[in-house]
Amino acid sequence: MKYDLSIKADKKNLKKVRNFLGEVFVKLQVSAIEANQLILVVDEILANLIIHSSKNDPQKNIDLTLTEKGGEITFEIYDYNSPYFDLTQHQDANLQELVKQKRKGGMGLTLVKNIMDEVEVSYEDNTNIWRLQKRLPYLLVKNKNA
Amino acid sequence: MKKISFLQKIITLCKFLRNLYQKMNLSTEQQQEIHIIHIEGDLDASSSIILDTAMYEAISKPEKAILVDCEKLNYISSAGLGVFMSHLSDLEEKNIFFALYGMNEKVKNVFEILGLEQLIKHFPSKQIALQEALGR
Repeated sequence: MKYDLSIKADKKNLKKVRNFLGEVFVKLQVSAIEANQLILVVDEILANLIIHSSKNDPQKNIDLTLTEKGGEITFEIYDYNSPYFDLTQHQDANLQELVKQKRKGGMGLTLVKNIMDEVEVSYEDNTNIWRLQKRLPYLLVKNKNA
Repeated sequence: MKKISFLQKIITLCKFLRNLYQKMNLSTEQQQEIHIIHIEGDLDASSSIILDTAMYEAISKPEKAILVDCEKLNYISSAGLGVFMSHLSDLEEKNIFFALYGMNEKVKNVFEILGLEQLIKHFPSKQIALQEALGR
């Protein structure tokens, strides 16, 4: 199963994406807690791209695909006309430091990495392509019984 | 007087539309020296600024405690959590008791993925949170 969604780079669209994914995960019979985690992952990446990469430019498009195959959920997020994002440079959040510095940001990617089994970013044609994967073996059993 | 009344209506309408658009409602309540912030809906990168403003306002007052009611909080992202984190130093400096209460399982799960339960007090109900705040 494959689902596509295209949004304008506007924070106000985050809720629409969450609603869309929520409906898909109900169809796929993903548990409520894991559905929320997967929705959160996409929300975090999109919020980062909208704020930092697209600079809240609502003319910019961001595309998202969700694929469910063999008990695996895969997201691909396309951030067009962007400079290369080097994920290997990202360091997990140090909570004590964030408190000391009174920082509001800095936890999103740590959440993403903690939730997903695989996170990678490739760069082609001025586009960062985020590929995020989560294995949910119980989906195989549910699909067989469906 | 009429002008003020009209202006107030406009402000109320703007607040209503803003909340509708941002899918989050926030209200506050005062119980003696305890300030309670009620959050309803989704706390994300779009709506977290409203909470941030409410936190600044609460901290600026001589409160004994600030409690955040999460009973109707449907969703939280790192932007929402970041607001709480960014005020922890000031809360500690001002010796203000701070806690969340009534988180649902989804919200609590996000909280725990980051290990925030080590840094931010949280209680299952308002009653327990008030007892803890008053019992200091």
